[in-house]
Amino acid sequence: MSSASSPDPAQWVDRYGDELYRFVAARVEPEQAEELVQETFLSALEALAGFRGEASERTWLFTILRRKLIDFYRRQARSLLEPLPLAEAEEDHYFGPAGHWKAEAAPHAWEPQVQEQALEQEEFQQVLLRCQQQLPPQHAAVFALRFVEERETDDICKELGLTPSNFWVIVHRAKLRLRRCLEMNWFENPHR
Amino acid sequence: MPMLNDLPTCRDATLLLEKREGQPLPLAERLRLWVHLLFCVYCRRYVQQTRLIGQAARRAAAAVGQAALSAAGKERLRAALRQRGVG
Repeated sequence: MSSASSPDPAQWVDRYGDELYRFVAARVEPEQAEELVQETFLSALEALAGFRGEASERTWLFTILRRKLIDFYRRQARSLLEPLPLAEAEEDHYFGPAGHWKAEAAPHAWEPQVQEQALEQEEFQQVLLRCQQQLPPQHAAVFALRFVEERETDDICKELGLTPSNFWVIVHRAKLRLRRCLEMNWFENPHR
Repeated sequence: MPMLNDLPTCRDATLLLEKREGQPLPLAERLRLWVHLLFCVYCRRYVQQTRLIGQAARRAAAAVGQAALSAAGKERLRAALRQRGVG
């Protein structure tokens, strides 16, 4: 057999460890990222007999890692302390009784040039990731599945056991929080 | 033409904006949202900022970062594999 079609678990950490880790570290916290890589290697080990060499070893490991990541989001979304529907209170941070923006929460103008640059800046990406990690676990999972993994709404609802209306409420709340977090920590931060 | 008195509030409008990105809204809702946006500078900002956030999250995850496993992390992974008889 050629080396491409016979996986060599003893080499996995050195060959693919950093690359797999980097993929998940851009999505979850470092400790969690390492755990997902470990779960991936262990699952791959168990599935070794089923590896047919149709994909490269690397592609195969990434496929397993992605599945582990989705499982992680699912667990995260289900580790609910309070059942849905959540209290109405969350939106009340942003909107007054008549449903209009509260003065202190209304979106400020973000400079177009700063917005444009932000997309390319690694520091901004780090701030965004930290803001995501500060979301309640279920919000973070829904946000990641929708906007990072670009899963279909129906799939996410099915996987996480959400009704469409709860799904949109969570997307809305996650966006409200992230917007505010970015405004405070980036767009209006003089140390940007 | 939608009546001004049944325009969505900012709270409703920002929710509709998210939904709009995922599914077509009924015509009446689209019209009411459109009129609201005509009058509301905050929600106009929100439209654009919420899009930027989605776009940025996608890019951030796709960016090739500097993250790498620590030496200790690699050792932990090797140990986990060794426990299963590898190496």
